[in-house]
Amino acid sequence: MRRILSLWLPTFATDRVARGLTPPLPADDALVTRLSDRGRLTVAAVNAAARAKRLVPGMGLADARALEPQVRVVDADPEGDVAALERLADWARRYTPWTAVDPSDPPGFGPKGLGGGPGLLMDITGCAHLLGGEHELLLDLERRLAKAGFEARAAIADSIGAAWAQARFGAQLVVPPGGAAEALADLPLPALRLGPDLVASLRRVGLRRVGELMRMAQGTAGGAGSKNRAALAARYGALVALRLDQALGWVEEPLSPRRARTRHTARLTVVDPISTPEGLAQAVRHLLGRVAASLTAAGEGARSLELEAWRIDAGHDVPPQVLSVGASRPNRDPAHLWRLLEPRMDQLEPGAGFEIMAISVTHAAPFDGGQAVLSGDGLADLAGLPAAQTGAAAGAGNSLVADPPIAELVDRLGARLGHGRVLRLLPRQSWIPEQAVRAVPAEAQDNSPPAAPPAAAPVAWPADRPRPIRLLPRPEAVEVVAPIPDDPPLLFRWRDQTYRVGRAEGPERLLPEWWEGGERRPNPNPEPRDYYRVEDAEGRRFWLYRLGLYHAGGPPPRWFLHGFFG
Amino acid sequence: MPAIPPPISAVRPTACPSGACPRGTYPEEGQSEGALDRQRLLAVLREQVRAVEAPGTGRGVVPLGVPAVDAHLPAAGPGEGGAHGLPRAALHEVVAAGDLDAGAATAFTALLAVRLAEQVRGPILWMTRAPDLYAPGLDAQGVGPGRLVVVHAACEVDLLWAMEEALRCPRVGAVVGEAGGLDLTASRRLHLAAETGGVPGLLLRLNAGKGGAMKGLKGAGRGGGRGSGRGDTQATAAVTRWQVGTAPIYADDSAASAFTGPAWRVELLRCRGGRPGAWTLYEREGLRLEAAGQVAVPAPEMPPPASAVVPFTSTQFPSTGRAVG
Repeated sequence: MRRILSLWLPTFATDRVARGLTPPLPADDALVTRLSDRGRLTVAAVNAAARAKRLVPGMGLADARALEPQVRVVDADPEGDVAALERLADWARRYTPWTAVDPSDPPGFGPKGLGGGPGLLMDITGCAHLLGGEHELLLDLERRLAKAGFEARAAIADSIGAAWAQARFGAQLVVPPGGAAEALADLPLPALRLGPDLVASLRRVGLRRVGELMRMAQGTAGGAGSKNRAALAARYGALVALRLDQALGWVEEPLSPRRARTRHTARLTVVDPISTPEGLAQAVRHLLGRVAASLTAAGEGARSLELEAWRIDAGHDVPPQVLSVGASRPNRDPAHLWRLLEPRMDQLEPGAGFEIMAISVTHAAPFDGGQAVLSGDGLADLAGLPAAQTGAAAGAGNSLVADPPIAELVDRLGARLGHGRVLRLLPRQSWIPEQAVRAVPAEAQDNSPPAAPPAAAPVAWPADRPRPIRLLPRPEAVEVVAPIPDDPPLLFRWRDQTYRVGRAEGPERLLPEWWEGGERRPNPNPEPRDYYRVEDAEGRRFWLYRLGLYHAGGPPPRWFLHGFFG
Repeated sequence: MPAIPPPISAVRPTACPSGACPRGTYPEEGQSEGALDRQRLLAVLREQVRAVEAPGTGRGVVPLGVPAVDAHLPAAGPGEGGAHGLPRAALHEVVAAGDLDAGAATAFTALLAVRLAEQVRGPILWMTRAPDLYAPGLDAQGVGPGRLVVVHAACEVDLLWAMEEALRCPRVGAVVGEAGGLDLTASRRLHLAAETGGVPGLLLRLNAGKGGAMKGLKGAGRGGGRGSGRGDTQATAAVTRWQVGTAPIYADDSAASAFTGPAWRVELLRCRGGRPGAWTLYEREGLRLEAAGQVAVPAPEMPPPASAVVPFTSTQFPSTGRAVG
C-alpha cells in the first residue's frame, strides 16, 4: 500500500515575499502580489491577513485597495515561485527520494476563498519509520516550514487524491491505511479536485458531499453500481468517476517524481552529524554496501549513482549536496564504487555535519561481470581478422572498455577529470576534415540503448587519403605564390615566416556537403577546398588548401594552412 | 615489480660491492666449485649492473626493427636471448626538434607506442592538452580508433595524474603524455609507475614548458627552429630521450612526384644502458622503419657533442628548394 503525503502551501507566493522583508511584516498587515492580466492589474496571491480582509486572488487590484487601503502590493514572480518550489522539492528529499511539485491549482479549485497555492507530493512509503512514524514526519515537516515562514498544511493518506483532499479540506492529518473512504465521506465535492463548473452542476442535483457521490456510484447491489457509474459518466464526464476512484485508491495515479525513480537506494539518518572525512567515508561505504546488496539481488549493476547529503544546519531552500559519478560498465563492487566517489569526497562541505546521507543508483543496467567478456582481440580471433581491421570496426562496438581493468581506469580518470575529457575518437562519415572525427566519452558505449545496428558497414577513415596527424583547430590564412589556376604553391608565408615548397602533391578536392546548409541554415563554406600536401626545404610537410576557384574578374581565392603531417 | 636479482649481500655477505676489499674476503677462492661460483657471481653482478644502468629492461625489450638503431639500445635480460631494444616497462621521451616538427615527433611517438604496445595489445592512452591531435592521422600511424583513448587534461597536474594512473594499470598497452613542464621528480614518479604496472610510458614534448603543440609557434624565431629540444628541456628520469625532426627526402629521390612515407632525422640523445646515436629513418609501407645512414658516436659513455651528430651521409641537404610545377 502506498502512502502519500500531500503538502499544501496556500500562501507560498506571499510567504516568499514576506520572508525577504526587513523589518519583518507585522502579522496583521495585508500583503498581495499583483499581476498584469490583459492590461488589468489583478491580485495574484494573498497572505493570511489579506484573506481575513476578504481579499481573494483574481480580484482587481483597485477593488483590493478599496477593501483594504493599507495593503502592501508587490509584483508577482511566477517563475521565481516555480524555481523556489522546485528547490523546496529538492529539500524535501530529506524525507523520501520521491518528491514531486504539485503546481498551483487553477482558479476555483480548492477551498473557497483560499485560492490555489502550490504544494508538494511525496511518496513516503517505507520512509516514515526513519523519523519515528507518520505523525512525527508530518509534524517535523510542518515545524521546519513554519520556522522558515511558510504556512503549510499537510496530510498523509493512501492515495494522492485522498491526501490532497485532507490537506486542503480535512482535519485528519493522517488517514490510516484503508481509511480513505471514511475520511473522504464528509468532505465537500471540491475535495475531489473537481472544477467549479462540475461542482456546481453536481450540486444542482443535490450532491454536496463526497460520501453522497460515493454511495451513488457504488450502489448497493452488484449491478446497480456500474449502471449508476455509467449514468454519472454519461452526464458529467468521465472525470468525476475517475477522481473518485483515484481518491479511493482504486485507480492507480502515478506520482511523477522530480527525479528518476530508482529501485536501489540507501539512506542513513544519524543522530550525531557526520563531519570528519573518516566518518563520511565510513558512512558512504556503509551505504554503498547496502546499495550493492540491492543491486546483487536484482542482478544489476550501477552505471551511475548519486550521493546526496543534507546538512544539519541547512534551511528549507538549500538543496542537498550532490556528488554524481558514472561507471563505464555496470558495476556493483562496493570497493570500486568507492574508488569512484573517493576522489570527489572533498567537494562535500559538511560544515556542522550531515544528518542525512543517501546513495541512489540513477542508472542501473544488467550486470554481466561474471561472464567472460570478449575483448577486441578476441573478436578479431573469432572472425579471423587482423586486429587492425577490428580496430577500425570498433567504432560500433565497445571492445575497448569491455576489459574490466580498463573500464575501471576509464572510470577513475573520468571521475576526476570529467567524463567529457576521456574520449574515444571515432570515424564519422564526412569528407570535411574537421567533421570526420566524432568524440564520444570512452565509457558511454556499454549497454546504451541500441543505437546503430552493429551489422552496418563500419565507418572508417579512407586509408588512401593521407591525413595530417596534427590538425589546426581553425585553418589559418597563409599568403602564397602559386601558379594559376590549379597548381600548388611555390612559396607560402605563415605567421611571418616564409616556406619554400620543395615538393607538393594534390589537389584533393573536397566539395561542401550538399545536405549541409539550405535556406534555413546556410552553409558557412559553400566553396570547394583544394587540398595540397607540400613539403618544404627541410622536409616538413604541411597541409594547405585553397578555398574556392579562380574566376575571371572575381577576387582571388584564399589559401589556408590546415595541418601538419608526421 | 621487475625481477630484480637478489641483493649483493645475499650472494656474498662479506664482500664489499666496490671491490676495494682485500682478496681474502672472497669466499671459497681456489676450491673446485669456486670457479663455478665465481661465474655465477659474475653473472649476478652483471645483471645488477645492467638493472642499474638500463632500468626497465626486466620486463623485456622491444626492438625497433632497425638493426642500426637497435644496436644502440640496451640489451634485454639474460633470459630473453640478449636482444636489444627499448625497455618495455619504462618511461621514454620524444622531443620535437623544432616548433614545426610537432607532426614528425607525434608520428614517431605513435610508432613507438604501437611497437611497445604490441605485447599487451591493450588500448593506447593519449593524454594531451592541445586541441590539434587528429585521429585520422594517428590511425595511419597504427593507432586506430579501436584502441585509442584520448584524455584531454585541463591542466598539467591532471595530465600527470592521469598518466600515472594509467601507467599503473597493467592492461594498458602504452601511455603517451604530451607533458609540458615536467621536473625530475615528476618524471621519476612516472617512470616508477611504468615499472610498477609494466606499462610503457612515452613523454611527448612538443614545446617544452608551453603546454600546447601549436601555442609556441607564434613568433617562433626563424633560424630553422632546431635544436631547442636539447637545450631548454629539463632533465627527466626517462630511460631514453629521442629528438625527432624531419629530413628532406626529395633531394635523392628521383621519383619526385610521389609522396613516400616520412623521413625523420632521429637522434638518440640519451639512453641508459645503451649508446646515443643519430640516424635518418624512413617510414615505409606497413610502418616499417629503415635507416638511411648512421653515425655512431665514438665514445658511448660520453654525451654526444652537438657537432658530432649532424652529418647525414646518404641524404644530401639541398642548397635551394626545388620548385614543383
